[in-house]
Amino acid sequence: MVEVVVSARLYRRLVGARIRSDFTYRASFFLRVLSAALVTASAYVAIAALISKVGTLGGWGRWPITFLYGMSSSAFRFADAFIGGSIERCSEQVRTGKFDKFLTRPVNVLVSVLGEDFAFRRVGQFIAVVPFAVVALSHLPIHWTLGRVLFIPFMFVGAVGTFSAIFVVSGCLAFWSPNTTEIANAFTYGGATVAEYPVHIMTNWVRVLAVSVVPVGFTVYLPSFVLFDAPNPLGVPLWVSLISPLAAIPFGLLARTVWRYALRHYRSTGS
Amino acid sequence: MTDVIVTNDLSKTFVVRRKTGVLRRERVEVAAVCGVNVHVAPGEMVGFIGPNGAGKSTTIKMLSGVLQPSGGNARVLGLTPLDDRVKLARRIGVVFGQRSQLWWDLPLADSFSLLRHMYRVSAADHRDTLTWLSDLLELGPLMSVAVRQLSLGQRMRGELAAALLHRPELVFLDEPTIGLDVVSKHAVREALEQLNRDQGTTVILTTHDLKDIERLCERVVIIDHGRVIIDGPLAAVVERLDSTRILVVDLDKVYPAMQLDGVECQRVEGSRQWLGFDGTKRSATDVLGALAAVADVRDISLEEPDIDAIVRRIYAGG
Repeated sequence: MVEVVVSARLYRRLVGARIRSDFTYRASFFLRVLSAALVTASAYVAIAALISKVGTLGGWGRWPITFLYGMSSSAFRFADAFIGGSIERCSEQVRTGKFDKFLTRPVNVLVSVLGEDFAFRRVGQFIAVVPFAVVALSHLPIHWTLGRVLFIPFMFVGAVGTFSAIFVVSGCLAFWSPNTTEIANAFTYGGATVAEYPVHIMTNWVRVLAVSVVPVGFTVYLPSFVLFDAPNPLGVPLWVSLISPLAAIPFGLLARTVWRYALRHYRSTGS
Repeated sequence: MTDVIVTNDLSKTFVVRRKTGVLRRERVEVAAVCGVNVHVAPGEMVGFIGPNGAGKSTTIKMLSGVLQPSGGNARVLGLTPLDDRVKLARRIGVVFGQRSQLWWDLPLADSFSLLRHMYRVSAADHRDTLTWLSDLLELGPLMSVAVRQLSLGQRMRGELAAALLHRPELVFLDEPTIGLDVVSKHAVREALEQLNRDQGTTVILTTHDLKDIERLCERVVIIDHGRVIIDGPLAAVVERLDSTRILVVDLDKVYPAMQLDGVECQRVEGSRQWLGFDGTKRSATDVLGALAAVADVRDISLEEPDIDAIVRRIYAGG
């Protein structure tokens, strides 16, 4: 327990140092945050256009689709800000050998990586997509109960956890091979795009991928049936939807194992 | 006292994929370090030298917990480097000359403060150590300067201080003087010398600058192709590799090249001659005596072998 508190304090200090560093170039920093936020939110334009043309997607109308987009993007961008951005920078350091320094410090490597390379600029992207989830929720004809209200944060935390696990595992690719950024992005950003659409409209093999290799089906799609009074078109029982945010636990543990294994395979670079 | 470092056939192989065709690739194992056995006693100052790619840095990285050995084992301060990574990191200091561990955009003082929290050094101890290091490395006026604005020499002094803030028992330095000017090199050497003398810190360093070794290290380990080819006191290494001594003599007038038994005249310049002889077979007085019989000697000096030249020969010879 003491360890956790000490680590948390150190994490906070490292994040503070990162933000102070970012603020050295204040104007450029804010411009980047703003432009990234705009680009992120503009992804909804495509979805809105699609819905206005076809009316429904797999039986889902405008607000369920908007909710799926808003909720999954919020969780994804949150995970990106706190985990993904750091992991991306860390992969770069693995390639250049600068990663050495994390291994010579008496600190959990993940704590120092996540803290030191915290991507504060990506918090803006998270803020840009949250309103979509909120507005969709207010328009959806949900029969609100206390359980359903409490389910929303549960679902959010689970989705953040699953996306984080995907970030960590894809980032670990850099330990084995250089130039893996594109492959990693295919899993992370590609996965996030899949998460924005109902899984039941996809072909079989994509459905299988969405609950295995890139388990984005567990993030928002499956849990959302707890809020809606409609049965799952794929025949997935309600109890699976209820516990699907917990999928973050096995995927998180798997990510931890992969990360630890990867550290032992760090090759550094000649100097 | 038990040894600070003990390695037993320490090895590291890297798998490299080589392109052999448009799409075809070959998997090749490259041995970077093969079977290194080194013992280092507390308080020693050991210099690792060897050509680029000889395996010096790889060895240091295995000893400091960065790389997992692929064969053999190492014990450092009684710990197994990567398995006891956190415990070991608390007790060692590491400077990789080509990598910075400072926070680029922040004042130097901020880096020190962050490191204090990482190493969990109490505020009082930190203040004392920082005062000491700041005097030793003349960091006072640099504390409030952003690291990116420091010169290479200033930054390297900062790196050194960063690695010593938690008063490590053992310090690894991978090319600490690379790219530094004479003044900065001198400052770094001075600091390392003091650290070793006053604190008894064990120091392991790699370098291409033999002045570092001459100035600092009693013992030198020469690594080539991943193997230790020579390990011993600097003087003995030099003796073993090149026992030629050169006696430079100023004679009373111009003589032809001297013909003396066991002496080779290497150069003649007016009345000055360079006489080479094997230091293990004859003494300088002996040679001088023989010379005095045939010429009048005005002045003499003895040239020590050039360590640079010796190492060049080792590298070239493989």
